[in-house]
Amino acid sequence: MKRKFSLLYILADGFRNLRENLSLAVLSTITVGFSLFILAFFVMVFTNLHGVIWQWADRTHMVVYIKDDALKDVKSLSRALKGMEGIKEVRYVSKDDAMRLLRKELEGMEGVLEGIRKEVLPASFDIRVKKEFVSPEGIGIIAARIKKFPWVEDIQYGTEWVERFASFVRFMEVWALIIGAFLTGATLFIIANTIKLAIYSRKEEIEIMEYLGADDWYIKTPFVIEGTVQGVCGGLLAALLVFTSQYILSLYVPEHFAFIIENPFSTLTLTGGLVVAGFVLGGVGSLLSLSRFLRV
Amino acid sequence: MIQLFHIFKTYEGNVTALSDITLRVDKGEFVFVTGPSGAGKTTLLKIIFGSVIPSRGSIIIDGRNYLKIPPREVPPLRRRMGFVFQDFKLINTKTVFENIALSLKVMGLGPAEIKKRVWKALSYVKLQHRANFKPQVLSGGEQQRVAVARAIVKEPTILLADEPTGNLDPDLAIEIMEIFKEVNSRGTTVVVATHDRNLIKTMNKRTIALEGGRLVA
Ligand SMILES: Nc1ncnc2c1ncn2[C@@H]1O[C@H](COP(=O)(O)OP(=O)(O)OP(=O)(O)O)[C@@H](O)[C@H]1O
Ligand SMILES: [Mg+2]
Repeated sequence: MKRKFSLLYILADGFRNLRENLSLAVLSTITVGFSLFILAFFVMVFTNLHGVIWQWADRTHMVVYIKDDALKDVKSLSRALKGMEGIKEVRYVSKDDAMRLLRKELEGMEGVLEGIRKEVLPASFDIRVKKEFVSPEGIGIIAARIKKFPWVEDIQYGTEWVERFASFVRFMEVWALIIGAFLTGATLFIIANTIKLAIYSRKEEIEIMEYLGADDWYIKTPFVIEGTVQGVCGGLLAALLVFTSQYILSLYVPEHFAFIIENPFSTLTLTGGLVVAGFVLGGVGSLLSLSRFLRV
Repeated sequence: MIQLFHIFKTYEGNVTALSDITLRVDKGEFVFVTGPSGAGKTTLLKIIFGSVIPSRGSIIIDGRNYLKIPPREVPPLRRRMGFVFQDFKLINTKTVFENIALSLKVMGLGPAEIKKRVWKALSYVKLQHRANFKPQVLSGGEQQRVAVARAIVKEPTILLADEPTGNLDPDLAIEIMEIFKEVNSRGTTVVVATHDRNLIKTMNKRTIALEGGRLVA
């Protein structure tokens, strides 16, 4: 016998299942929504903190002093530095600039500068390094490479600051990873169990379908559709919760901490991400829970 | 043709439901399985249906070693079998019509064909007026007839009926048997489990008797 199934037919079945089990479906959607909301909020706060910390990283810079006899060629030296891996920004500090800076630093005691000519001060390049290199090792690598240029008089950089910064970042990241993993695990666990519960409540229906000779995919499809619809709705709910809680919190959080609850992503990205997460979790979760009840 | 060779079934808790059953049901035959409560009738039918796996022994259906069939081939086999469960196994969230239709839907039939066949089956069991009711609100006998309709609507090659008249008055019981006879006359092998001696007597068909999980005479 020729067997034909229209997709529409099966889709309709999926949505009908949803309607028939509305209260449980709503419950799962809310559960998915709240789980994703908590996870999303954590990711948001962490991303903000992380962003702020990396702004500090920008303070990491190196000073490369240039030998006097190489000064006529500053432009090409600068270009050579810029071409190196890990270097973000190169600023030339001429002897004049150096003098000006020194003056500014010694404001009020200009007397000490008496008799000092700018020629004694070395010209230098002020270098900012890329994020990936803000670590004692990264800075060391760059410094070693720069040292190889014959025109380099000396290099200075604050190892101590970089070390402290790097270990702080590591500390933050490890904790974020631990909390993030825990939250993700909890979210998956909650969602998987919600779906399992929903499917368990229809164990008999599944059994009957098997007895009637329904193929596995025929039994699974409506559940998977149901799971993804719930996941998508849960994702939307999570986004709504994020935006609502942001608004409410913004009324109470002092201004200089407000950045913590700002959305580091665009509204669309956050909503989209949550919807996709819900879609995937709902679909995969249903499939996994179903395989416990089905043979294949 | 259904052939059972030295079938044993022991359930969890060391309950022996069937012991050394060897029997054969020819294609197109109509047989009764009888015996007192707990004799193993349901177990025997479910073993033929494939939802209970025997502890020992072998089954050959239409020349195939039934116990060696890969899982993916089970659904197509089930689609060719009708089973009237002793406990009906109707889906309570679906209407009578939908319950019966499901049996055809899984076969991939189109809506028009399904509608035609379901109404015909409903008329056989005299339940047209209950088509849009949920099973829960029906009487036991009505639910049983829905189960019968669901099993015959797909015109199975093997029809297994477990106490299909248990909740019916004698007249209705005879009518159901007439339906089975007609299905049988179109080539379907029919196996009916019942402890209703009168029914067996009026039908005058081969009878397999079980007692304590063993074949008797
Ligand atoms: N899933 C099971 N687990 C344990 N024991 C079972 C199970 N199913 C059936 N049995 C036992 O196996 C024996 C045979 O049961 P079966 O249901 O086959 O009998 P039956 O002849 O259909 O009885 P009835 O006429 O009451 O329907 C009984 O003793 C029963 O308690
Ligand atoms: Mg029984």
